[in-house]
This record gives sequence, C-alpha cells and structure tokens, in this order.
Amino acid sequence: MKRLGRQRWFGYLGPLTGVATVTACYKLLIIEVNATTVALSFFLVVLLTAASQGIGPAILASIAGMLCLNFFFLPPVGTFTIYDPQNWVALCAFLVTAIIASQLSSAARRRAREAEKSREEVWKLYQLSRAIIITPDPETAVSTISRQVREVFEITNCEVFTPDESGRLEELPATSASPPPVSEKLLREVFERGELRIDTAHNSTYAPLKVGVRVTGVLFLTSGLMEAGTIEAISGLVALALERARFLKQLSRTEALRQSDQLKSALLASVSHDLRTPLTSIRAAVDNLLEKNLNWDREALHEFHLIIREEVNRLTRLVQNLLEMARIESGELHPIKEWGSLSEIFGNVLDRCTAELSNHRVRVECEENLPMVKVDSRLLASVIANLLENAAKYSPGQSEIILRGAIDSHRLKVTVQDQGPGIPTNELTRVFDKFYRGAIRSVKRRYGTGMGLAIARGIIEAHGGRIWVESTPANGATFSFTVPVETRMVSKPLTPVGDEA
Amino acid sequence: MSKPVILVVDDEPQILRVMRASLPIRGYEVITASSGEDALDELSKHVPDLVILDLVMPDTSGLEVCRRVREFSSVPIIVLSAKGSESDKVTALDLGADDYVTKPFGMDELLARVRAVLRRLSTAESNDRVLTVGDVSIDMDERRVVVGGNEIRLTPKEFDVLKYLVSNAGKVVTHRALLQAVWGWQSADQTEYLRVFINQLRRKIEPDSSQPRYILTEPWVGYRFTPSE
Repeated sequence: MKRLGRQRWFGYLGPLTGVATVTACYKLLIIEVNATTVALSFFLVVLLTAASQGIGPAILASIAGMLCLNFFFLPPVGTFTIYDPQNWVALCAFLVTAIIASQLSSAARRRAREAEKSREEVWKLYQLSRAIIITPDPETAVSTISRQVREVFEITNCEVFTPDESGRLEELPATSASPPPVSEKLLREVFERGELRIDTAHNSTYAPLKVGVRVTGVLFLTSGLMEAGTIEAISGLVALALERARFLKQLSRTEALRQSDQLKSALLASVSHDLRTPLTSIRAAVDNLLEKNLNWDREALHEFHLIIREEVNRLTRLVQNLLEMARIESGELHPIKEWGSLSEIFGNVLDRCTAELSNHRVRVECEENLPMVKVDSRLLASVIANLLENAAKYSPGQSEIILRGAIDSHRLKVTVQDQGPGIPTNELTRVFDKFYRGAIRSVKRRYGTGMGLAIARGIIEAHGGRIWVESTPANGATFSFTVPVETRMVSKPLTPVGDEA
Repeated sequence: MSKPVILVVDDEPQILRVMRASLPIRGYEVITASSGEDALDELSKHVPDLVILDLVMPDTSGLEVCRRVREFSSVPIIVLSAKGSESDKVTALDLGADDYVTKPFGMDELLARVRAVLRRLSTAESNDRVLTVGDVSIDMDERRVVVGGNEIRLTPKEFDVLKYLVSNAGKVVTHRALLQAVWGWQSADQTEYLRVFINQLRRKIEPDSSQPRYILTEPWVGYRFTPSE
C-alpha cells in the first residue's frame, strides 16, 4: 500500500513539475516567446503524462498548463484576466484538446496493459499445462498441479475436491500452507450444478472440474484477482490432469494384472512339469515292483527303490519350496535361531541334494574349528540347497561346484561357485526375482519353477542378511550371502569336512 | 528272434533310469538319449525297432526330432506328452508319430502301446487283398465288410473311412489325417462333419453305437480302431 501511495503521489507531482519546468524555461531563458509554442509545449507534457501516468494526472497537467498559459504568457501577463476574446477560444481549445488527448492516450495505455496481462496469463496457463503433461507419477499429480497453480498464479489456496466411494467430496492431498476456509454447501452446489461460484466474502472461487459434461470434482481457489476465463482454463487443465492421473493408474493396474497373470501361467507350466516328471518315474518304478510275474534281479529292485526315494525327495522339496514361497509372500517367515555348526548344515544339504548333484563334482572349502553360530539351520540349509541346485542346473555335467563357508567378526558368509556360462550383467539382479529363469539358451536344462533364488533371497532377508551374485560371462557365476550371527567357540574341535563327491 | 530294440529319448535322467532298469526284463533291449540331438545322432547310426520320445525337451524339441526322423526313417514313434498340451500331441501324430502316452503314465499302459505298435508293424507287411483285424474283415477288391460274421452295407465314403481306420488298427488317427486321406486336403479342418460321419458309421458296425467297441474316440485328437480280441 505504501508503495502504491507514493506512486500515485508521484503521478500527480510529475505533471506539475513538468508544467513548472516548461514555464520557467520559457520565462527565464527566452524573452520574446510565442504563446502558441508554449501551448504546444504544455500539450506535450499533457500527452507524456497521459501515456505514463493515466488520465487523472493528465487532466491535472491540462488544467495546470492552461492556468500557467493564462497567467504567464497571455496578455495581460501576471493576471488570470484575458482581454482578447481570441485567447479565450485558444485557452478553451487547449483545455478540451488536452483532455481528449489524455483520454485517448490513457485508453491506449490501458489496452496495452491488458494485452500484457492476458499475455502473461496465457504464458502461465501454458506453463501449467506443460507441468501437468510432464508430471509422471499419477499418485503425486494432484499435489504437483495444485502447487503449480499456486506458484504460477500467486494465490494462497488451490485445493481439489473429488467424490469418494460414498459420494462425499473429499479433499485430495494438496497441502496448502494454511487450511482453506471451504464451504461444504458451496462445494456440493458447484459439484451438483456444474457452475462456477464466487464467494466474495471469503475472496474465494469454486470451479467445477468437468470432463465433457461430466463433473469429476471441484477446484477451490482463494483469489479475487483472476478473471472467469482464466479460472475456467485452470479448472479445465486440472480436470484433464485428474483424468490423466486416473487413466495412468488404471493402466498400471492393468499392466500389473497382466504381469501377474503371466507369472501365474509360467508358474503353473513349470510346477506341472516339475510335478509330473518325478510322478512318472515313481509310477513306472512302482508298476515294475508290483509286477509279480517278473523275476527282477536284486540290482534292478534296488534301482527302483532308489529312484522312488530320490523322486519322493524331489517332490518333497518342490512342495517345501512352494510352501516356503507362500510363507515369504505372506510375511510369515520367522527364523527360529538355535546353536548349530556350519559343517553340520553343509553335511545336511549335501545329503539332501545327492540326486541333483550326481552329475557334478562338489568341493567343500570350510575352515576347521569354526565357532558355533546361532541361526535357523533349516532355513539356511534350504538356501544353500537352492544355490547348489541352481549351480548344477546351469553348469555343464562333470564340472566342479565349489561350496565355501567362513565366519568372521560375527558374520557368516557362504559362497557357491559354478563353472557354468555365467550370467549377463543385465540379469544379475533379476535372477533373484520370483519365477525369473535365465534366458541363456545353451544350457541343457532350463526347467525349474524359478522359485529357488527368490526363496533364498526371502530367507536371507528375513535373517537381516544380504545375497548377491557376481559373474564374468563364460566364466561361471558365484552366488554369495552373508548373515549377521552370534558366535560361540566350542572347546572340542569339530570334525573337519572333507571333499565330497 | 532277437529282442526288439527301443530307443528312449528324454531329458529327464530319472525317467531314463527307470526305462533302463525295467524294459530289458520285459523282453526289450534299451538304448537311451538325453537330448534331441543325441537321438538324431543315434538314429543316423542304427535304426531301432521303436522310439519312445519325450515332446518337451530343451534345445531340439520332440516335435522337431519327429519331423527330422520322418525325413529318412519310418521307425515307429510313441511320443510322451503332458496332459493339457493336446495341440502338441496332434502335431506329433500329424508329423508321423504312431501313438502317444500322457505323463505320468503307468508301465502297463506304455508297454501295451509298444506291443500294439510293433504288432501292427508285423501285420502291415502282409499284402493280402482281404484285411482282417479281429472279427472285422474288409475285402478290398469287392469292397465288402464283414463284422462279427454279418455283412454290412456301407456307402463308398464310409467304406473308405473304415478301410483307413482298420489299416491303421491300434494306432491313433488324427482328425486331420483321416479327413485328408478320405476327402482330400481342402477338408482337413471340418472335424464337426467327421464327427457326424463317424456316428453314422458306428450305427452300422457297432453292436451299441453309444458305447463303441471298434471305433474309439481319442478326445481332442482323433479316433482309434481297436479290433475286439
């Protein structure tokens, strides 16, 4: 307000100074002067004032100019009386011309200012629409847009209200600095009728957000300075942004559904293959055993029994994997930690995986005299079994798989190194995703549920540990995990774990 | 007579193990291959009496093996398929496989198919003008059909269909193969028409056409002619 007052005061002082300066110049510097020249000079001051300060100061300049012309230059000089009737006419003509000219000039100035203002608004709307288009995240779109509207149009409140499931108009999280003085009644009214309402008492505007003829929400603004057209444009943009956010959300949901569908059918295919194969071997072996008319030799009988046991183990592990996956998925996996030894876990795993590892040489590298560790041995064994099976699945027959275990400063570290084709860099993190199976074509056996590594990650994360894989292409992959553990030294050295076939 | 030689092709080592242990005592000699390429390699060296082929294998699939074997050999092929992959089964049969068994299968079922295929092979070699399978006999020259001692009157198309089924007795004949053999290429997709036609034929030759004894339906795949023993 202070600044505005000074400007106004200057606006009126300026033309008076101008008139005084012209008068002084002609009076002091030039002795014989033509009244017409003086009048034209005053006229110039009037026009300049009108152009720069508006109509009020220009009229003041006109009157001041007329008085000065009369007093200082028209005979008799030094009085406000005029003898010559012609000079009356000239004086009046000056005044009228000056006033008309100032009116025209200030109108032009006003129009220019209006044009500038609407140009600015168009620019702001453009900025807003750009901001809406580049807002990538549908979740934060509304708050981003609201912030943009507040920043671009310099207003205090911009809130978006949309109906929730029950039809109540709820404010979307837009977070203005201060809670807006919103009238529920007006909101409802605008939403139902789809017409713009201005609450002059609170200096606020309620604009319907329309997509076509459908009202999708209400935009609340606190600002008295905006024109209806601008508000309409803003609400149009916001409505568009809301609709876009809604579509994007729907799209991502559809995409998620599609992906989970794909995963499900992939799972179904591989689970059905993994179930069917052991069932086939078991059924064939059992059929043979039940065939009373044939004289099986001891060796064949033993072979059938072995096959049945191995395949039952395989089925058991598959079912265990499925259950474990389900438990990880539902967040039900809670490690039960007890004192155990790493060599015991290794021994257990190697026993369990005899069939899977029968085509490979497994070398165990584990220090002697390792301390006891407090872990969930069953779960860790399951992780190591999955890593070994994975190594066997993806590396050529008869190649070596190295299983290493170490315990240092309360951390247990296990690595499984294979001599397979390795894993491309872009797949290094994805291999731990559920149902992900390596894309390498050269490996012989590509089946499997794609659950093993996902389960391994789930278990290790439940232990507060970390699992990762390093690989140099064509040079094998090394899977490692670390888990924080409590350790306790035992007095008696443990039986060392030797090389196992 | 030497033992028939069976080549078993499967990428599952456990299934190969069961076959290696159980087939010899049932009177067959077994050789195994754990991939499609190995199988083709083996077949190029010596042709066995029968091939048992898994359809789902990495690298070279069973279908591909089937197609490539048929380029140089007519060795009988029984494919192992998974339930729910009917289209693969039909494709394999159309490519020249003789029969299929669905995993998980019983040993007896597999051996019955093996015997049927091998038997058909030995009878097919006889070059009689009268085709007799069980109590069904077909006189090729006079186009006469006798079932269980009664002569049956058939239309020319019905005769052709029955002749095709009987000459492939014990083997699954796919819809497509039957339609092509009797009506020609352009009719290969008219399975609905074939269904009606087979019902007609059953009414003429079956004692009870609602429970067929000779012309059995293989769901989604085709038909199989089984002579009553």
